[in-house]
Amino acid sequence: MNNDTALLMEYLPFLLPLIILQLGLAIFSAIHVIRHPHYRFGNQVMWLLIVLLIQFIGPLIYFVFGRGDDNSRAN
Amino acid sequence: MNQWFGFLKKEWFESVKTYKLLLVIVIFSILGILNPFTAKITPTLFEQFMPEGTFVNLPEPTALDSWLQFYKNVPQMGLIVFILLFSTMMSKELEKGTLVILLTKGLHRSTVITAKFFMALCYWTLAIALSFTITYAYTAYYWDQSQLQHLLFAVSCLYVFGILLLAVTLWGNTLFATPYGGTLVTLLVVIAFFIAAIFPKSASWNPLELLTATTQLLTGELTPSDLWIPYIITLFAAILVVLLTMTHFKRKLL
Repeated sequence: MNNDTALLMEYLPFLLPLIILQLGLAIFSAIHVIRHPHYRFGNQVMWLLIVLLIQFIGPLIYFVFGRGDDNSRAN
Repeated sequence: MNQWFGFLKKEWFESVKTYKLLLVIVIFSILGILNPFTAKITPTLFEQFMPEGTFVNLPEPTALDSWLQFYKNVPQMGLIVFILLFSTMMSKELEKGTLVILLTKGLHRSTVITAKFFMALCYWTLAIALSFTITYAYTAYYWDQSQLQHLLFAVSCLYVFGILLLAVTLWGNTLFATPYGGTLVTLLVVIAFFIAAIFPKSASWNPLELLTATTQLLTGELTPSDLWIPYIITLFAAILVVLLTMTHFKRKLL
């Protein structure tokens, strides 16, 4: 156990920014998915799963291809 | 010139509002941190997950391992991410027809192409600079990089190859006016480069050589003078493709 903690401490300078960036992006995109329920295709559950489960490619695909326009709600 | 800067400003605001700036900064920081991390953790992972009693003699990771990860991750993941991000730069406006208003008001068609390309170029510069600086900082902190050679030239090879792919994406996007057209054309061009790379003679001109030769550049097996032909060819091809896109767009019906 002690060995594990030492190992964790050794890699903390890498892990900390990585976790903050990845989690931050995932949470930011998830909030965006929930607050803007208009997508070019797919539904909310699908986009939530994509955004939360696929690391950094998921949010990218959502923002580039999935995000609907706020001003074109008629269609 | 005033028109050009005006359109550039519009492009900048658009890219910020469509979260492109955010995505580029976050994803390329992640890529930058991942390289030294993978290099450093691989031997430890082997030790932890090997069955008891197996003895694997892995050498200590060096600065070269970290940079090898950089030249594996950024050309693959980084370029894919970047091409996907900018694969809709023309098609979005062509689909919505928002360009028609600006063009009938007297905006030059060449302005549209050059400003869009310049904006994508700025983003590519930012992305490469970001992941390069982060990897450099971590590598310099953990290892000694004095024996590595041509570090900046190697990254400029990657940068120039990215410029060519950007130009090709813009052209494909203008040609097909769908988000998938640009990505598809880029994919086909990369496949063509790979097919050409099967023939050993193509190494003297193939732009793909800029990506594959980076490892030998770092270890000093190749010098920048060995690569100047693909380097120049790639730059000229990029400029040519942008010019082609401009002439093509001038004749395109909106």
